Amino acid sequence: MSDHAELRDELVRWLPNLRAFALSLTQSAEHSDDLVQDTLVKALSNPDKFQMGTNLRAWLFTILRNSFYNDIRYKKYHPSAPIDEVDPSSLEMRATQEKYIEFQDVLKGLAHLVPEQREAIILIAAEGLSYEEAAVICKCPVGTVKSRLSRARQRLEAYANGEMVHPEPVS
Amino acid sequence: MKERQKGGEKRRLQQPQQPQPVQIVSDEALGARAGSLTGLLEKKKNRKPDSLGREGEPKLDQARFTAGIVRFYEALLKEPIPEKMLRLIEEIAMREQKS
Repeated sequence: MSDHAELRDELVRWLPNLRAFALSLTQSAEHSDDLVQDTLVKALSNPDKFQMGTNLRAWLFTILRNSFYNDIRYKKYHPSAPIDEVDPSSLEMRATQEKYIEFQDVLKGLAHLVPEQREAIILIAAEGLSYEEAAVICKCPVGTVKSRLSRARQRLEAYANGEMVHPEPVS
Repeated sequence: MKERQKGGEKRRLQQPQQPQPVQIVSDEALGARAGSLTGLLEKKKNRKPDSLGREGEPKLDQARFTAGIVRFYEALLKEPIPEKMLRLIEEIAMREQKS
């Protein structure tokens, strides 16, 4: 099997994770699918930048988050209509009513975090990555990942106590 | 604001396009969940003061919230992949192989 075919198969394997990560980051079904497609195009068009046998997930997630932050920067200077918020009912997930409410809670909580804090929580808690792996993807020191997680918890506590809080810029 | 949120939540609960299958949740359970994040985050007003009358420190039920994130993420992972994405992969892979 060629490297190309292998890469394609591996991409398909990690597609659900890419979509889940993108949706968690963007909070927008439409934007997340655009991001994933952009990631697929970049990955398949630059296979030489990936070394088979190394961590493909980390490579793909890095591409995706780079595109995401590029989009944010672009939108900052080219504002358009606000992106649609994710409603669990817009997803095909077969949730029970109780889960549906829980998912709404999760989305509300995540929406009150800045993207850097959101991605830290998702990579560590949901993807199960180590601090070191998350730091590679986020291109920051391990200590920064830990502090973003800590800030995320503080913000969620503030939100839970009705002390909200507008998104703050992350250095 | 909270009233508006509650109203919005109730409206969403009544919408016909809710994910299926829907399990009936008791009024008590729904009541306990009214408001924002009450299911996953402990509300300050619900916390009892200690024996000296001091209110406890604000506390986020982090374990439950994290578990909620994990369940949400797992549900996302089970979402079907759109056919157009699979086609896109095939098309780009073929194009790159030719070039």
